[in-house]
Amino acid sequence: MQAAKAGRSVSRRGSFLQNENVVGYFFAAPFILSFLCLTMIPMALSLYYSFCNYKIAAEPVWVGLKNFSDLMKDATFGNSLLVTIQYVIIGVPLKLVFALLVAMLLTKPTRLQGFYRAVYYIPSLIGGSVAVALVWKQLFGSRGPVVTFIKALGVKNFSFFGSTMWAFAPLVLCNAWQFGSSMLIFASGLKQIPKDYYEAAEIDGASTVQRFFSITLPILSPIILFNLIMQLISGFMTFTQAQIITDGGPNYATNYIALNIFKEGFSYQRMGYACAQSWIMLLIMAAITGIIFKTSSHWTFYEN
Amino acid sequence: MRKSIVILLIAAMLCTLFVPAMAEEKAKGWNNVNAEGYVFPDYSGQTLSIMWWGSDTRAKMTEEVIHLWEEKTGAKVEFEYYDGGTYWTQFQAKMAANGLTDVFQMGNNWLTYYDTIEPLNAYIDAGTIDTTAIGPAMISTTVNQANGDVTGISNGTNARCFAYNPALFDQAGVPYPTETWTWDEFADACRKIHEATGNPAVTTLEYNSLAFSVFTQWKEGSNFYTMDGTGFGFDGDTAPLAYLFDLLTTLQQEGAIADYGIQNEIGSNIEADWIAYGDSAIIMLSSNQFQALSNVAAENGITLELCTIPRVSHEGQSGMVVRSSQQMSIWKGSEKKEMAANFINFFINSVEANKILNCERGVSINSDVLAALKADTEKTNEVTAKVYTIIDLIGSFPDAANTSPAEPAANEEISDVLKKTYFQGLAEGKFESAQAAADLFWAEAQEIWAKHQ
Repeated sequence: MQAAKAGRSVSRRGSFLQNENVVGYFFAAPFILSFLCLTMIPMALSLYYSFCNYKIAAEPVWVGLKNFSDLMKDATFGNSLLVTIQYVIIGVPLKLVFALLVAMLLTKPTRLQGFYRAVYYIPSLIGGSVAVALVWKQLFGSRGPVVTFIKALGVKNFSFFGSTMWAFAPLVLCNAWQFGSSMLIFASGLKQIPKDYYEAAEIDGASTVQRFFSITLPILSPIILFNLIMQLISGFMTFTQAQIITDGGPNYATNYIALNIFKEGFSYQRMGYACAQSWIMLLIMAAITGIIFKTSSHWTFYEN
Repeated sequence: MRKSIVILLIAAMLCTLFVPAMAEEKAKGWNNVNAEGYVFPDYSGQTLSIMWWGSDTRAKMTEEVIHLWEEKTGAKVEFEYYDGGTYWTQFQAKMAANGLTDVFQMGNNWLTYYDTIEPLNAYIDAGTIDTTAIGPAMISTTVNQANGDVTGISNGTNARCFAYNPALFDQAGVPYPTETWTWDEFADACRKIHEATGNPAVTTLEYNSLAFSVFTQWKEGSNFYTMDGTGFGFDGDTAPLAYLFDLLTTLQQEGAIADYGIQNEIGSNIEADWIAYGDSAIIMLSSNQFQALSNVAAENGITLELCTIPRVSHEGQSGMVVRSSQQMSIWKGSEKKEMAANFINFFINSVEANKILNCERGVSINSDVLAALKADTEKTNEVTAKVYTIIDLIGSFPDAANTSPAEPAANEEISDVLKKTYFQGLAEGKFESAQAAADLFWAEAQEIWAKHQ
């Protein structure tokens, strides 16, 4: 008590360091500084470069909207937008369904609940790593167990990474397999649902399916919204697996937008053009997120 | 007073006349690491960084040489290495961060990274990099013809060629490739081997360089890129490309050549190619990679042979060239250029070091080193002898001197597009015909070229 009073009197005197706001800023400084240096400045620079002809280690030359008008005609870029959207549309719902399913299985209070959650979370921890990509490359490769199994079923000449039709499948599965963080968020959401709702529904004779669609889903909808947005964003930015496993191929079937940007900027030395692509990608992501937010009032349910 | 000043000035002028003459006398081979009683510079407490790409075999050898140099000079060398694909990603990232290593391995694509490379002319003139045992023709393989800059010192010469497994040829009852074997013979061999083994006969092909070879084979004096890499070197006739498109796509659809998935899985990791495990019979490679590949194959009881790239006709052009395999270059931003030059001098010229490296990066350009290696029966074993033989053979083809080894700045993108859009698109049936694809490619290649100017 004494100490607290003393503190307050000091701050009244207006000492700069004792000011509560200053303390707040001090603790927030690491984030603010790194946000400015590692996010804001690069973003501003990339916006500038997107209007330039820019090669790393050379002087940028202003070209106005040329990069953007070139993009409109660029078939490879159009294709990468298309395959990225395909990846997101198939991959994100799959991952969310997976996460919700496992989260529901793990809400049953058992002794090993904590252990199971940890185990299912591990793939997400090692998620974006090169090592996992290499493992999946082996697993679905031409001599991997999955292809061997499919061939044993009598399918001739089957190959995941050699076919434009199937190359995306292992990448989507690899992404869905890393459902841990969504699962944890779903699990905590499931815990928040009051037990009496289910009991009341049970007394009224509702089946398990009815209970799921009438109680669980509506109450969980704000959390679904959150997970959906997070996964959409990370889906649009998918890079490592495509680069390691398929190198964007075959015939650009998995040439996702982030990979295409990387190729343009680093391999072909057209950083300005790559920056323009990343801004288009940002706009598309912002638009989709915006639409989901706008429509969310129709399908999310807030108890209070 | 005045007179004395004039005398002094004249004396000073005379001295400047003498100094270069004296320096030149010193330059002649003063830094020859093979000379008896050579004293290595003392770099105790200093570090040098270096990066290269290549196989595990190469990594082991290079590490050994680095430790040898560390022992002799007291320096500490920080090194990193990657496979051929990852290397450029790393290189570009380091370039963007302005943090390249002091010494780096550079390919014939040096024009793409020209701004990062320190010209070595001064170090060669000063004799820090001793070139007394290196022929001028070998130095010129890494010179920018536009301005005379020496962009690096070649690690050795190589040639793109094929290797094959004779046992599988025997099994399928196919004759071995001859010096002038043709694409038709190649196709026939692939089909029969595929029939006999059930596996694709080939699992690694460098599509872009094959296509460029066929342009040279098609017409005497014709090349995809001109000799100096300043433009395209053919008259716009895309028939050679259509020919190769058709041939390879058909073979692939029959399963005689591996699909792009398998080829991508192997990537640039030559030691993972199926040929080393007895499953495929033919591989395209650079001659210096033959050692590493043979090492793995030998573990599986397989002996491989080298042969030429198939031709359009027996009497036609070979489309092959002996070129610099890769080179050691110094980073323009390095603060230890003198030390880096000394390292390169040791790496290229030391007989002791090259007995370890044993031409795995290419046939040594230093005549003393090559003579010492060839005289050493332990070092010149069956495998390396095959490499020497194929390089001598290709060098003896009359058209090899007119085959362009150039890799201009636009090449990376043109090659990528050729492979991914056209070769892979054809396999997916996205083009009406091979000729249509070839014409579309030619139009796009010119567009890409224009963008890089």
